[in-house]
Amino acid sequence: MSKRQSTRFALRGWAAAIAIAVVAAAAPPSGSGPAAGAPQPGGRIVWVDSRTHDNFDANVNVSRYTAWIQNQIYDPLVWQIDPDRFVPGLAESWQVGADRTTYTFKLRKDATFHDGMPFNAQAVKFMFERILDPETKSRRVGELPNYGGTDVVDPYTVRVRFTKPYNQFLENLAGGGLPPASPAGVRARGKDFARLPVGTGPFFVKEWRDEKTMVLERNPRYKWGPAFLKHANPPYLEEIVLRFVTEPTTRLLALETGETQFVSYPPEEEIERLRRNANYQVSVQVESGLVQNFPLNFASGPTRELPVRQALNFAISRKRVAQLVFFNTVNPARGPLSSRNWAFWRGVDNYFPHDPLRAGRILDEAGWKLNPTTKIREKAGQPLRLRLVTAAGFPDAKVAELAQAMWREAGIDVRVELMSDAAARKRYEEGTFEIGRLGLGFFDPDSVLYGSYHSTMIEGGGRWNRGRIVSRDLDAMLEAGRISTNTAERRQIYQRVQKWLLDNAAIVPVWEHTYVFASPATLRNVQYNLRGQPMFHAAWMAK
Amino acid sequence: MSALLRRLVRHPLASTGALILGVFLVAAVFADALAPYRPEAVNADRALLAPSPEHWMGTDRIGRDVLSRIMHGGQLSLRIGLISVAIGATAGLLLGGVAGYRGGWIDDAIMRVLDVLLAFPNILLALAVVGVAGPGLTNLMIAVGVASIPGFARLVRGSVLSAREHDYVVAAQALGASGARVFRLHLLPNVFAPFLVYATLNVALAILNGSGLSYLGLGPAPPASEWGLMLSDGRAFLRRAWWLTAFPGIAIMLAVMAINLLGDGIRDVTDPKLLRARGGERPRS
Amino acid sequence: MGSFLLRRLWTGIPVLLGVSVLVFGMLHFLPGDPVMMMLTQPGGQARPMLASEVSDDLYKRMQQQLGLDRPLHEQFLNFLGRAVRGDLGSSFRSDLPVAQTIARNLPFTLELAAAALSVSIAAGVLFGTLAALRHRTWADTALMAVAVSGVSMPSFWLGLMLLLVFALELRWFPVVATQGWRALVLPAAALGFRAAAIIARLVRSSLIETLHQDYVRTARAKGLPGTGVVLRHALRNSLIPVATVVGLQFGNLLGGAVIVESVFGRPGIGQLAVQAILEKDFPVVQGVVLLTAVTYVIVNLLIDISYGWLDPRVRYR
Repeated sequence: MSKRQSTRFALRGWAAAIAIAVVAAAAPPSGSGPAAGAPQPGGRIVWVDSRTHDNFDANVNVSRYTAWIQNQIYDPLVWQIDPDRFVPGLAESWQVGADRTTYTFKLRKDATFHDGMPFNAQAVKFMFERILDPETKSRRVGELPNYGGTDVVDPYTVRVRFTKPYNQFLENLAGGGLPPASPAGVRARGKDFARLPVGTGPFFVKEWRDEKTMVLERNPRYKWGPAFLKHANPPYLEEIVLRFVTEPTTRLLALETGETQFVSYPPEEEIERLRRNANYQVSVQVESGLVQNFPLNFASGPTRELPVRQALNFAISRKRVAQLVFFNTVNPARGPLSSRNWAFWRGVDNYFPHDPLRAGRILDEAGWKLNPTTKIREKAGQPLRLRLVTAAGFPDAKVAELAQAMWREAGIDVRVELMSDAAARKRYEEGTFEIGRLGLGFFDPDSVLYGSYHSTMIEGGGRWNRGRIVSRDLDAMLEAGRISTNTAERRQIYQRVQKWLLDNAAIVPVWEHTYVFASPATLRNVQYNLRGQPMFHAAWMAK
Repeated sequence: MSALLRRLVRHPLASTGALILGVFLVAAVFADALAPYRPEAVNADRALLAPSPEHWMGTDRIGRDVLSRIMHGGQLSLRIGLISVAIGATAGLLLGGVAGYRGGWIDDAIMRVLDVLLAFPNILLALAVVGVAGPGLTNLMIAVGVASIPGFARLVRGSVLSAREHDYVVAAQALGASGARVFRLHLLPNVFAPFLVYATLNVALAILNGSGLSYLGLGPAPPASEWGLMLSDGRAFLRRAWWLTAFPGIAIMLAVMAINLLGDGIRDVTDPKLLRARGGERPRS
Repeated sequence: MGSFLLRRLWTGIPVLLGVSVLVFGMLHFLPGDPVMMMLTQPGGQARPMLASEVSDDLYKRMQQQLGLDRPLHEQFLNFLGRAVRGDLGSSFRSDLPVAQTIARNLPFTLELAAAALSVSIAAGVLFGTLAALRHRTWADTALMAVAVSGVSMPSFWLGLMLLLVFALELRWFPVVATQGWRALVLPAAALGFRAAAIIARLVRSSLIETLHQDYVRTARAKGLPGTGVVLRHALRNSLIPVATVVGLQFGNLLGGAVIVESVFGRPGIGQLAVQAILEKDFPVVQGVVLLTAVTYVIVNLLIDISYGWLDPRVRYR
């Protein structure tokens, strides 16, 4: 076996291991590090995170990275451990109405909020009404479409009504945006609630030492940990100190001096060294949504032509991107959806292996001939020149730079235009680009694919059909997937959607986004949920 | 003028500076012909190679030749430094000179307008320019240049304010010399030394501000190479591939040092007082 | 002197007004609609709103809440009116009062800037004087070589090198702590090194020049000892350009602080400002800019006063 093959094999094996661990989350979830020995209570850890967060109110804020931290502070009504398997959280049981417009929950009677107030049906009703109150300025409004009201049936039973069928309610309940917050806490803390949220989770926010240091402390009353964590009682760790540091090199240095026990996104360049060192452990979690890709403009420019779009796909080596830009801390994309998504369809390997010669042949046949002096292809005197509009900064700029070089080898002249997120979004709205950038972290394929490829979702604000695809077939499939309640049927539908995207070379899938964490080997049993987010409830420090 | 030039050539530090700067300029201007590789040529099989006879300064993470990128990067970095300082220095000399010499309401008016610019944080100004006009070399140079106008103007004004109180200036004015003449003959030489020092330092500052913007992700678009950008990109490799940061860092340092030496030399040979003084101290030179 | 102070304070007002107009105009010309950015920002785990789901009603309500529905001049006057009373509004993103957010971050930037500035003035004047007194010796050359390397090193790079050597290898200082003096040493050094180098060079060059001026030579001829002459006559005179530069460096400090704060993960208004401008959080940007402008006016007033102290011939007009 050549070296190249073996790396590839190793990569696949590693991705498969994650997939297995995830699917098996019902049983023991993917724990990090050797769980040998009995858990030792006590101890504190410093978690150096890579972002600055400004709002920890889960009912208000939307950020996949803030969710990592919110998950320690809040509990959901239901936990999701599989695409169609939900298990009790703060709700002990639930019933879904036949038409999917009413959901009735029986709640736990023993749960309390961090401020000592009891968790009950009123708190659930309060949460939904607070989210929908314009005064709250919640960005979670989209998770309660066609809300009809909440009835408090008895102190520990609630019925939530919607005016139209709502398929993904349970999933959104488990998704991190709809965990109950203490009504008394909300009233008492006012605007400070964003910094000092009061939930029911295993840790509570003790204080902010300064704007970049937040302290979480063990919730001593906690005994409603989900069954799959195998630890219902208060967490082992006494304290988690969160430090927010944006410079990756600094985070790594803090790990090496022993100042921190958990680091989000250590620099990719040094991951190999950490992996080889037995004193450290590295965890890589694949995000489940739409892979990081280049949408191609269907409405204008040379990318209107299928051969050009195909050539762009053949000319790029996804493996090289993963290797050179990310030092293999990401996977090369294997389909439009991430391999962690339950509707994943493995198409890219077969459709678009890296084959620059084939890219050249396709372009030749389509009339784009190489100009020997400029080394750029031309048709009717027009050079094959495309604008790639993307955000500045890592990794977008680096990926664009590498892709640009690979396309250039095939005689395609790509001009990279780097700008701020806002400016790039404006360009996508205007349609003044041939190659864009997109990748989404959502969990359900409907959220990902409908928003990105339905003809009513052409870019303008928050719609992500950047390529301006208008196809009746595609629309029909996306609508069918949205209505269906049968997971097997939906999986089939979304796999057909993905096939359509590759048949038409609508996008250039490039890599799967990952969450990367590093810690010393002495931090045991950090677990990762279905979405790849860390959970510290059962984690402990070996002395 | 030719006498000045001759003195400059004989000035050991100035000529060293000029020599180094000359080498950089030649390397930058003729980079296409001189560089061993194309600066944007990616070679994935030769990524992160240490310096060797084939790649004198090694290769970067996507296998591009560092030496070639430094040569081409010199074009951008030197251009950013020189042009933006030219913008700032010219405008600053005029505005500061007029303000300091005229005084009164003209001074007030000029200084208040400049104060607005100066009170506005540079980095936000640059971000705003880049945000409105889009990133690009020209916009970056204008942003850095405009932000440096008030600095030059205030420095010039301060020196003029102090110099105009000197007896010989007061005397010249009393004797009826015209404003322009007094400014040119008596005030400018006083302003000139700190001004030149400040200008040379600002070339460095401009190059560095460019690199700061690169660090914040607002640098020139790929595949362009720029020293500050190379340094920023290489920072995570501090321990794994030292050549990615060492060589661009040395390039910045040498270029800045050369510009400074040249500036000092120019100051030495143009300042009559200093010449006299040195003549008195060291009769041999 | 009293009337001079009053006059200078009075002239500070148009500056603040000019800055307000500039920042207000700038924010409104940046691309991106803050309401849409708030409502539809992608990146969540679950589904945020799609633009099609943002009803006109919701959009208008949000716009109204943020005060963005009124004509521009009215928005501006509102902002000014509230700012005069010390109310800077609430952040679009966190909904917290801007004044409070700034107050939480400001001490860290002030602490950092003060440490950096005092270190750089002390080191700059000391080494600049030494170099001037040893003009044209190896000590002069060595000091100036260090100074040149100081100005030619980007602060992010210097910061990382300091961390590598003094935190990782020598373990003298912590990497990510924010409390206590030990946490301040490396960031202040990273931020102040450049200013120190600039001041050292300026002190040296203007001192060399002053040393050759008639009154100094007279003093020397009268037999005053060398160091005394330097300190009593020449140094004081040479500090005028230094004072100017310190005032200018103050503006650069915020720019430097942005980067140093990001390298060391420190709280501070530099970081706050850059993040706010990228997220179009109008009230925060306006607040920070206004605050730096006020500080700037005060610092420069102090510097103008120092001109008079350093050179009594400069009269307060």
